[in-house]
Amino acid sequence: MNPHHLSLRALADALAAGELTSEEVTRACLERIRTTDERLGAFLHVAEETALAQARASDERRREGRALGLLDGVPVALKDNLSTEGLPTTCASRILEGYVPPFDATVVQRLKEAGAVIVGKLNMDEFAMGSTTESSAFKPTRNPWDLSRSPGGSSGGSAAATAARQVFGALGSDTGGSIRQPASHCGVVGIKPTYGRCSRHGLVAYASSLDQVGTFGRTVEDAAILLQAIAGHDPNDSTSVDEPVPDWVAALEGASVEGMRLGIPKEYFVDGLDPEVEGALRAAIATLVSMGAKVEEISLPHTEYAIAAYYVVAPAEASSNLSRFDGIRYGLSIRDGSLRDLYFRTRGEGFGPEVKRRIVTGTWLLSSGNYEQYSVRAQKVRTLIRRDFDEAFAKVDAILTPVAPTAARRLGEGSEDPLEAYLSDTFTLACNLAGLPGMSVPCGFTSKGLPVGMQLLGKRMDEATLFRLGAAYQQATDWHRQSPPEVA
Amino acid sequence: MALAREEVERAARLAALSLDDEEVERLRHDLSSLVGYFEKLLALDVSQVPPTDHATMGSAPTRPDVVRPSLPVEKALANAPESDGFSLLVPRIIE
Repeated sequence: MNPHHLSLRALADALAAGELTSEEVTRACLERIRTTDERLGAFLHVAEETALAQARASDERRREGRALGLLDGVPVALKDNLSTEGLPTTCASRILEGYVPPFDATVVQRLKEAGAVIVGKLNMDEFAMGSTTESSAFKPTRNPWDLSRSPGGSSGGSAAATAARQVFGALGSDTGGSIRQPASHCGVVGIKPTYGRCSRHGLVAYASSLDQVGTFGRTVEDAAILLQAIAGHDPNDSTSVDEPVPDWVAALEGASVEGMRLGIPKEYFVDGLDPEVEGALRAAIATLVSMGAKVEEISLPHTEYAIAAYYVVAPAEASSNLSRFDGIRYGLSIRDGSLRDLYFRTRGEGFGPEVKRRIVTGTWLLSSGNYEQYSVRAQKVRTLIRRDFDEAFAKVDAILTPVAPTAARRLGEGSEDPLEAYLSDTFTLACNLAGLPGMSVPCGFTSKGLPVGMQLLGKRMDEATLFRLGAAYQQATDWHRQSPPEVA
Repeated sequence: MALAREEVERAARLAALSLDDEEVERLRHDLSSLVGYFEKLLALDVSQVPPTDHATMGSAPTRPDVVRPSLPVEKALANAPESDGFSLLVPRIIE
């Protein structure tokens, strides 16, 4: 039985029925990584030995009647900014080359407790700063639908590995769209849950008030199964929310959109939105209407300020977070002079151009004279953006928008001008500024065969509505069943 | 809005980053373009709006003040660029 084209859920059922063993499936994933990853470049580290040990332990549990649940024995992989005890964690940066954390991130620990097999660590933009995975210090990742294109980013490795069937799902992180945008570009599902839904303990911080861990799957159900395992309060992260996690997976049974109110914000359907992307979205809206959803146009009037607010808040927090990389305790350390030289040279040579740009920008924004003018003001604009959503969600259950203005771009096509590059994040940033859950679901292809996703935004702590909406849509469509030709 | 090189150099110094001349010039250009864009924020009247510094946190939670296990020394030093087995070593700072 060739397991690669099974969904995570179908694999879980096959493992439970004894049709496959975890060791067989894990070996098949490792083999597939061997044959495809030279072209794809999704992995930074493959953990063959520990993965096989985890798989054998899973098979043994199952033989003894002690299987742990849906994820027991399922091979998955992790974005390389999630700390893994005994496995390298580099954030795709030279400054962390060779670093092996002494502990697991809480979300990783929870995956292990659920019996998942950790196959390896996935490529990303350096410190999650970027939208193409090209700022990785080690290599670019390629889009499995067209190897000349980027998978998006920053969780490009997570999206590409899931789409290329190297693993059955993956974890990523999303600070301004870093799960949803690559999911859209690679034709898979990606969810960024509500801020605080998942623990950030052991997630290497980029912008702490925006960062959130989330999941990738080939189906909405698969993404929900993974999120179910990692979500919930963690005393080690004081921003994780102490509220119960609903049983999302059970609630998907017979999911329907009948009577659901969907808001379409007019500010998101603007010039610059590729007509083919817009066409796919309009068709998806029509499908949802035909299934019983009620659609109304809404307004999120401060949308045009989201990019400016985000690119003040995020670099300011980044400049402060990244001060911990000092060459003293771990990672790169260039020692041939004074302590001051050690700090300056280690950081100067260890960080890549995009990371330096954000550190310098953030430090400038936090320095005296600029702090009130820009940083505090951006946080006030953030309040206005949150209020826009509060008002909208008084009228609708979920909001539907594009994820990105275009499908995946060619590698190297990204703009040299940072401002132009940042503008392409326009549809995903507001969700993080407001702390809301957001999910990308495949909803079509361009004429070049590139996947297009739709973004579903929900109320705070209401991932359930997004899952229900997405799962019902996937019962009626088969975009998510297509597989990428390049790594067939 | 064009920023002076000195502003970039000052920020880099505060961030403990060594930059070569080319990097300073490039960042001066990039930062000027970004700050020009940030001016957009100045158009809004936010005098009556409170800032959001965190998306969902109402108040800072507390935990009991009890000693918990921390990393053993050998694990904490496993990644150290230079150590004597008990402490991290750094270049001398007092002559």
